[in-house]
Amino acid sequence: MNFSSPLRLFAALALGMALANSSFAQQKNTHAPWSDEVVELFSTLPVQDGGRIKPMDSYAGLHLLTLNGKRTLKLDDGTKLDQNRWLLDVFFFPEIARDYPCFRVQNDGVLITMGLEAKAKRAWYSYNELIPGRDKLEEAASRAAQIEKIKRDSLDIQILKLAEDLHTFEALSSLLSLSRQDYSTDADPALVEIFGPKQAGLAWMLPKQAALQELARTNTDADSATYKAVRNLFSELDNALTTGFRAVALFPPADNADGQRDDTWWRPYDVLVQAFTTDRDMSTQIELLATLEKLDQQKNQPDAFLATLRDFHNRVVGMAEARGEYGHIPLEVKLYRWNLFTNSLVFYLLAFLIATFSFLLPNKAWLRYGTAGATILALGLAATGIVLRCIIRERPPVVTLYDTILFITSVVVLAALFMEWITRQRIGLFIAAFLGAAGMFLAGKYELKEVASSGDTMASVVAVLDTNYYLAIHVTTVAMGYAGGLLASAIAHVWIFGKLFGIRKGDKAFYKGISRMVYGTVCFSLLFALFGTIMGGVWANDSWGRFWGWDPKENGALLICLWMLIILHARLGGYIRERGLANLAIIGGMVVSASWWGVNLLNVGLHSYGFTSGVALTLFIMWGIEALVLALSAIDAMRNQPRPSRGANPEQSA
Amino acid sequence: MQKLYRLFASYGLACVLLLCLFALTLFGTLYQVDHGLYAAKQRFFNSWFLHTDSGLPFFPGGILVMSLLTINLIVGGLMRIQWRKRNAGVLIIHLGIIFMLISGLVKFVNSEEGHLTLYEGQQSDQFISYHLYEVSIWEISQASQVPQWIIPDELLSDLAHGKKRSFHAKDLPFTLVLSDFLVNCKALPKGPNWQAEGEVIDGYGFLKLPPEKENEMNVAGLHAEVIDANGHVQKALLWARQQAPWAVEVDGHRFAIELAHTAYPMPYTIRLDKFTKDDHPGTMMAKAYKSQVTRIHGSDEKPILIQMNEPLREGGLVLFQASYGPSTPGYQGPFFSVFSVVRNPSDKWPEYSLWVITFGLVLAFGRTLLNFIRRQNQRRSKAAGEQA
Repeated sequence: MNFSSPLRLFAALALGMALANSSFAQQKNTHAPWSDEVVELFSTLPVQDGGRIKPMDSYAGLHLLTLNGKRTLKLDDGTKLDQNRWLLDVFFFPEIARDYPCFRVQNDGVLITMGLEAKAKRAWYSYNELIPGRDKLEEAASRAAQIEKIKRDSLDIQILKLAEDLHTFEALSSLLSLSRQDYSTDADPALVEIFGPKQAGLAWMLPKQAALQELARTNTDADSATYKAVRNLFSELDNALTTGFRAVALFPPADNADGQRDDTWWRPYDVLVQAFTTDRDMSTQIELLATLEKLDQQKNQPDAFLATLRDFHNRVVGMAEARGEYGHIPLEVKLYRWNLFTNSLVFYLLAFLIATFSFLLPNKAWLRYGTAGATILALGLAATGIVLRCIIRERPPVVTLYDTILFITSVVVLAALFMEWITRQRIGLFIAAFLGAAGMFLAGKYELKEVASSGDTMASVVAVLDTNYYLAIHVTTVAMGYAGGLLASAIAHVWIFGKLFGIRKGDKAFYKGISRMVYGTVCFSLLFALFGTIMGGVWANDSWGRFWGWDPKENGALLICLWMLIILHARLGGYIRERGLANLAIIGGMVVSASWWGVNLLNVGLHSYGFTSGVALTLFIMWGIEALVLALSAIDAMRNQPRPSRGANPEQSA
Repeated sequence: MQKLYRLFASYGLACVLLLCLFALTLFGTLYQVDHGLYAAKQRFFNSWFLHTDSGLPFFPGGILVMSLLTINLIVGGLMRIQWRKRNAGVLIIHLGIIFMLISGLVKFVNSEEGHLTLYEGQQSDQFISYHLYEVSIWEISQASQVPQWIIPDELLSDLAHGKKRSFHAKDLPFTLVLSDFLVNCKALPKGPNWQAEGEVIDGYGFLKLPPEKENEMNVAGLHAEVIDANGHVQKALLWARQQAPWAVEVDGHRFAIELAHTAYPMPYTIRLDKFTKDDHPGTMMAKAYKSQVTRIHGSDEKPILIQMNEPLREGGLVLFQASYGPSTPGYQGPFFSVFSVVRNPSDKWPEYSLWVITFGLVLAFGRTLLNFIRRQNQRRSKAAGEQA
């Protein structure tokens, strides 16, 4: 190549630099894919998060769900990453993960607030794309945080969420931040004497911290080079502590100096703090930190990485098993891998589809069996999921609002199938499939919300809920009362729409049968709601010192009982007949939804652990639709009202 | 009389009363958002009528509705109903609900509620009401500072809008006139920028504040006048948060007069030995908080653990672990522990009624369900027979 002119030389240099940059960029944005063995080992690592020990698989899944709205991540080139591969990248290749579009921004107003250009109304962004607007976002978030929770609008909520999501991502990627810092252990001969040749990481320094502290104690000459070097090293360590304090706790802790067991697992941050501040024997934890750092150094050597990860996994799992904290980890990994609730939804949808065909082809018995089979399979999957969650948490089935959806849906389906078994009119089957699908869909949607607000769907419980006896009896029975009320409402819809569309017109027995079903389900609802409500009072009497305090959640349960009693007494007194029963049962469904969700939106009362937000619109839409159904029923009643003729008894002809 | 009997026994009255209670519960719940629980309870549930702002009754209150409902249950659900085997379940349900309503009435009329707040090492033999006030008077020269005369809440809290009430006792050498009770106020040196509520006394006046949503946060105030036998008048402001009682001298005797939350004596003394708060590991969420206390009765000392869901029931009182403090994150102690204390003669009655009602419900609905299944089976058999 002829570099005869300075211009050409400059051009060649520029080209060389560009090529180098491009090759660097390529290197920056790729790495060898994680093998299945690595993912398997990584996903079954136990970690402590939100007060409980859970698998890394759940930890990764819940965090990706919070940020991304899904447990998998779709990259710009169409590649899909599962939660474990994503978190491995965040831990070991944070510079690559910062380009992953894992932040779902649901309101483009947030982007406008940040001074950024929105890709679409709802879109996904990477950390690097959002960072230019970070300052403005933090300002807006601090303003939104000052607003009373109940008065925040959708934009405030989304601003706060995105600000928190960015912090979460930084916390995740800070796992190894302490180890990646450069510490000046060779800045002075006295330090070299303690530490020897400089090495990468932090763990190798920790066994020598006593000598460092001794040097700091004995060297008090502020003008000496050693004093300055020691001071500088402490300053570097101190600065390192400003990161990593929200990283995941993945080291089982050392016992206290007096030999007592510590239940709080450690982050690398804690290893550093404990090493400098306590006399615990923490050689095992320092070794674990060293192994983690080794993993970071071997991240581009797949075979070595796998071997080291296996070593790390075996040590941590061994320690967790010895502490009795690993027992449910494999089960929890399976719970999420089997995707029981999503599969249940699929089978409910299939059942609903077949049920719809079975109404079109009423003589085909195999369609009925098909509906029943798919529904039972879907119920079995959901029930298996609920049971597994009970085993993992060692709690009864209903603890959180998310649990209530899974449990109530299953009870509704079971009750509808029971009804079908008695009546064999395919109404129970149809309702079971429809409500099963609706319930599992709602569960999937609400899972996102619960994870975003509490970080888990199996979160630790507040002190007052720490009683399996009352949780098992009061909460499950109240939930069964809710289920009964919703089922009665659903059957009532069949009666009203049947009349409205003239289905089996003149078949009084058919409609009488449906009415009986509504009545029976109202009784079922009252039985469980009343028992559960009074049992809740008995629990409150033991927890808070009063049986009844007119608290919103208590009142919500009472409203259901009162409404069901009104229905029964109005029917016994002859004030309502079939249509009245159907109408009141539909209002009963509205009362149930108000009690189940509505009172949690008020943000007042002692049941603060059940407060939620962001479901008001759905609730109002549902009530609006039900009001419309009632209006249609009223119009239909007026339309079909027989004209009173002379001498006729209107009571008899109604 | 027969008409009245029919009315009280009717399903129609039951429906109306249940609807009224439904409406009270619904609106009483929504009312709490802006006004707090205490105000909602007083307005909707602990009242005979709901009143408009001008004081006109416009809807039956909780007491009236539940009283009528109890009568309706007794007349319609027990007396008018046929005492037959098939009605056994319904009869038992009604009996259980009546018993539960009565237990609510007993609690409403005859219970005392308050709190006992102790730091570790502290002890007390009385608990303090959350809501009720009393004015206590004692002679300062007495060796013991125990109140000798007490004016209860019901004679204080209605003294609004210029209403006055005079109090005189046989051994008390003066008449105490109380007026202008303020639910929530602040006693401040009177300045030019605010209007005092009532008379300004010794340069101090009451700044009236809006009631807090949490009634426990309100601080009440009263105007007091002491009139001796010669008609000499001494005036003062009594404020529930003042540091020391009002000291007044009459006929050479010095008396202390104080407005404070009502104190109830306990039949024993409770000493807090240790308070423990356990968090879920790695979080600041309380997993459990418990108080190791000693119950002292004369020379008898008994160590007892009180924790969430495990209260102490003894001597007609129930002590619950209610809260603790200071709750500043990272604070390691010393803590104080707050116990809710309730004297409720009907403490366990709702639990007994629960089992009665449940038995009745299972009996009534179980029978209905079995009949329904039997009829359905007969219907199907008949249909199968017709097809054959």
